[in-house]
Amino acid sequence: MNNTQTQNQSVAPQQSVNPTPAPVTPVPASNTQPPVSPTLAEPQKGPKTEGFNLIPAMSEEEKVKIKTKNTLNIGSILSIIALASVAIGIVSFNILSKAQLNSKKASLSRVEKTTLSKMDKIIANNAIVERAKLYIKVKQDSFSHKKIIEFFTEIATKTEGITFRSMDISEDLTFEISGTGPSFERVARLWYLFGVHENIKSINLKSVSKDEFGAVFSFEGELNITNFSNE
Amino acid sequence: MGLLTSQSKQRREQEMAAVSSKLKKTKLSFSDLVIPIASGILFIVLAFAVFIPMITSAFEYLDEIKETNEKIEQLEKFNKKLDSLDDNQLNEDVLTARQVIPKILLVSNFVYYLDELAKEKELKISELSSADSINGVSGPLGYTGEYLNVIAFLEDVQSVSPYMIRLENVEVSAKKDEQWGISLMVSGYYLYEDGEEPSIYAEFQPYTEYEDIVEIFKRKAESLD
Repeated sequence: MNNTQTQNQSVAPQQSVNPTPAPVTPVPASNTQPPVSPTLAEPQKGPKTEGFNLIPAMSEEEKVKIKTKNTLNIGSILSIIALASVAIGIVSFNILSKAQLNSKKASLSRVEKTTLSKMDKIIANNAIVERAKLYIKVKQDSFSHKKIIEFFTEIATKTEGITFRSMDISEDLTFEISGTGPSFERVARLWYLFGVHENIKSINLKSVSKDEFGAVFSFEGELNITNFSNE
Repeated sequence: MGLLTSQSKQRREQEMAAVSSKLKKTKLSFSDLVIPIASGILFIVLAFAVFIPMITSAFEYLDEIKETNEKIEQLEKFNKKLDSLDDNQLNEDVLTARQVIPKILLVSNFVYYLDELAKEKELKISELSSADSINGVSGPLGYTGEYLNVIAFLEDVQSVSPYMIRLENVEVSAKKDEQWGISLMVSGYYLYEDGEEPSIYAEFQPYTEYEDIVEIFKRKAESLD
């Protein structure tokens, strides 16, 4: 800025130069030395003496040149200020971010410490949760074999003379039952009762024969889990 | 008059030389551009050497701050959930759960339990063997006895047993003298605990969400006592 001011001060006398030539004044006869008019190089001291002002007025081009120079000097200063500002801004941003991160990490460390002090509780909780999940996994598709056997027996009692010899129940709810009955009619009725019951998805008569004691049958099919699932 | 003209001409020339010299000084020269150009170059050098790495690391710090905040929030929620669990109740429940699904299920214990149950139902052994499998003990089982006892045994093994047991391939068949036989594949489960501490950042599920299962464990554990 000082530089700018200096420039302006040095320019001022030039701009104050009277554009019109000063009128010629008669020289006193006693003074043979012509009066020296002030120049830019020699600032005027003391009272203004008479003389010619020969400094020509500055053209517009010259004024623009001077202004350009002033502007450029200000630009230099501004560029340094901008550089410094950017540097300070970036460094401050970095330092503040780092400081904030350190503060947050310290907070996290405190919370972690608190949590880790409860590790026994976490382990105990997880032990129960894992067991509960395993229980659900194992039991979700399980069914009551007792209920199924009772269901077969109940259907058999609706048809007189039917006796089961074996009941085979697989995990995929397929079953195979075999037994004896007094006649084919009874076996056919049993087949019908199984076929129309909601607990049976499908049923096939695998084999049937007749001997001296009556009809021997064998069914295979698939159960509907809905009514047999474990609680 | 001629002398006067000559002097004034000389003076005018001097004035003109002074003005010309002054004007020369006000012209834009290379020295005027040194500072802006130097500033620019310095800025570019600093930008690549210092500013860009600093800004990059600052943004990394911001990301880390975000992650740290999320972790703090997660742990605070975790602590709240943990605090909501009653210590005494938790200790009781974990003991109960470990009774039903133990850390390790010895084959001998499992076989002994099944055999004792069969004896209670007056069933005679026809086949019994067990071996370790993945997280469990399993093997074929065969008993004979009265029909009602066979069915009761089936029910007890499946529902009343203190252990978590799964039955597969159940076959009930009539034998001689109104005796019935039962053969099945039975599996008892356990849950191995490796003793490693769980991560505090892992998803936490309070066991109270499985209250109904814990109740089942309690009932089963009571029958074990």
